[in-house]
Amino acid sequence: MLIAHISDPHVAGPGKKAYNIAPTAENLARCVEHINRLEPRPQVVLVTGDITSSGAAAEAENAAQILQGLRFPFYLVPGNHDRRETLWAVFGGQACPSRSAGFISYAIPGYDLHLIGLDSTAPGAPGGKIDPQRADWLDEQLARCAAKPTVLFMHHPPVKCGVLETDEDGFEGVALLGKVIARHAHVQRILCGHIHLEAHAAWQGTVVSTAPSTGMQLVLDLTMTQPSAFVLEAPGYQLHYWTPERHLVSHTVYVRDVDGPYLFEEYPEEKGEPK
Amino acid sequence: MTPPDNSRRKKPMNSEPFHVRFKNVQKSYDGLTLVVKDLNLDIGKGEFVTMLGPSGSGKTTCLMMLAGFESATHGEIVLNGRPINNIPPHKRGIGMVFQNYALFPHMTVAENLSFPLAVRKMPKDKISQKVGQALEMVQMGEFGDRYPAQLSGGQQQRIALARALVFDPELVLMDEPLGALDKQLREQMQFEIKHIHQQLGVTMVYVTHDQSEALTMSDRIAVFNDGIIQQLASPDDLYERPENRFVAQFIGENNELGGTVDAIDGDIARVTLDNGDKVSALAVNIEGAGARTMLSIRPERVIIDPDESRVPQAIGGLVKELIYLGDHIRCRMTVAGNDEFIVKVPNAPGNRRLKVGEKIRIGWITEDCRALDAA
Repeated sequence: MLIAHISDPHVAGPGKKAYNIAPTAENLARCVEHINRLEPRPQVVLVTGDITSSGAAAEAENAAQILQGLRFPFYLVPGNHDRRETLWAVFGGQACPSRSAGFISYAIPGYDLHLIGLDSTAPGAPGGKIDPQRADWLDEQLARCAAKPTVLFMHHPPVKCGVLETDEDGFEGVALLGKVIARHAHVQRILCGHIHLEAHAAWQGTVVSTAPSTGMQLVLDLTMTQPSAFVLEAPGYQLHYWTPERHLVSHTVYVRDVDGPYLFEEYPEEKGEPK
Repeated sequence: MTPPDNSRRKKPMNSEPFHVRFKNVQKSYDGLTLVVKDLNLDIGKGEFVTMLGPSGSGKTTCLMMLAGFESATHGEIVLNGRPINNIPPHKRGIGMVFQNYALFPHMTVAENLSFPLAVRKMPKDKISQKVGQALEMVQMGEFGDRYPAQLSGGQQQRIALARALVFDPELVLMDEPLGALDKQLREQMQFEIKHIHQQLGVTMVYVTHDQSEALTMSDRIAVFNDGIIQQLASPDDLYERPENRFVAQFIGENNELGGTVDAIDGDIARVTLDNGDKVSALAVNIEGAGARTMLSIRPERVIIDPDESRVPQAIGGLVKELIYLGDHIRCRMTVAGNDEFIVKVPNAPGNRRLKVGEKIRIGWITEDCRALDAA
């Protein structure tokens, strides 16, 4: 099984750029095109939040139009830039197949990996939040699929990644979440976004992976002293490949024009046109 | 069948005469060999064009490039006057049906169909109306609540077709969509696709290796071989006026007679066959006097015992085998050294019964014998 994982598109309204600088809609469309061309094909595309730049309905609709160009089913969970109600109004019953007690959390059975989308947002706050209600829901979901390797996807990484702004955002109730995860050994991965950088960490017996943003990447500053800034790097996304040997291997893909591919062969000194 | 709602169909943005244009398109996977070589093809709005060819001929690669699932190595694909690379996937208005591009297994039929509509600012009741219409169009109106696994292969393919049409695309691409179906169902679906095309007026680009499928449905057929369009023509032109040996052999049944061109007089070539017989043929694709040529004659255009005042010449043939097929008799002969020469003799009043071992005279009118390349 192959999962394409995109995150933090931050799509602005039609014809607009995020922060009037970042061509986030175009970048998302480039990722859609790139994913459509993948071979082997992914079975599913997961979007881990911050679909919109400011939560506006026009932004969600613009993002939906672009994601509609995917030739694979896609599922999404909200991020702190999104508004739950708006996302539900636009994607409910489709890319957000169901919700639970107002949270856009749901399970997608039927694939080789059991998929659980978890709403980690707290309205009005940039950081993550898991309250007892959501922790219980997750615990129950994980207990139900105990026989099956499972991938959890949500916006906020439950570990501090050395990124000033998002680390300061914090994650309320992360210990509660940690206890649930630690109880279920079949969680293969927790797929997240939020930090606009690729990162991996072992946590509670599983691995947390954050995907780069499709829209704009953060400047990595492990000194955590500089003001938070983004660069208009190539859009990126991740591919999580469940191998025949049952390892979930994560690859990061950047969508940029490159020369190649070349085979590991000696090429003629004068590079000729293909015959 | 309910007529589809065309009222919301968007008119193309400009008045480009061509909906799709391939301009000097090349494709290479390894940087060394071209699987598509300098392809040029214009497809008109509302046209049904089939890319037909053997496997490995480049036809599917061309469709994949048009779908945006592969990029061209050189050249340009233009959609409504704009290079396709400049149009994001969701704005191309392309519906697709691929043999191996399955329905989403975890959604009902109706959910599969409403997926492409979900957020085109379409109200929920409008979506269900569109889904209902699309299902009616493929005669699957009762199946909205089923899951794909509960449907037969033919039914799944109908749903895939409905899904491709449900959002009123301007262009529909199909890659061997009927390949997995049995013969009877395949023929039935061919007519349905043809009718849907006529009804909706969408542009369709269809890929198949099955010539009868291509002949049944297409306005024009592009015959692919070796990464090149060998001929682009209407079905009747392709069958009756093949321009080269590959097309003559690939489309329909064909008799070949090898020979050398003696002279060319206007449209007519005088040819000496390899056994010394002299015949005349239409000069279609030959280099000139002295060149080798392969003559092409359709089995139903060979005349037995011709009235020698009506044909330019008659030559001898030996009957080797006869197969009675009701409406016609299929006769295998040896003619000018070719012992696989086939003649279809209509079972018509007055036609005499041939016998195996009989030596007979055969002929044809010059236009039915085409002098083609010997490549």
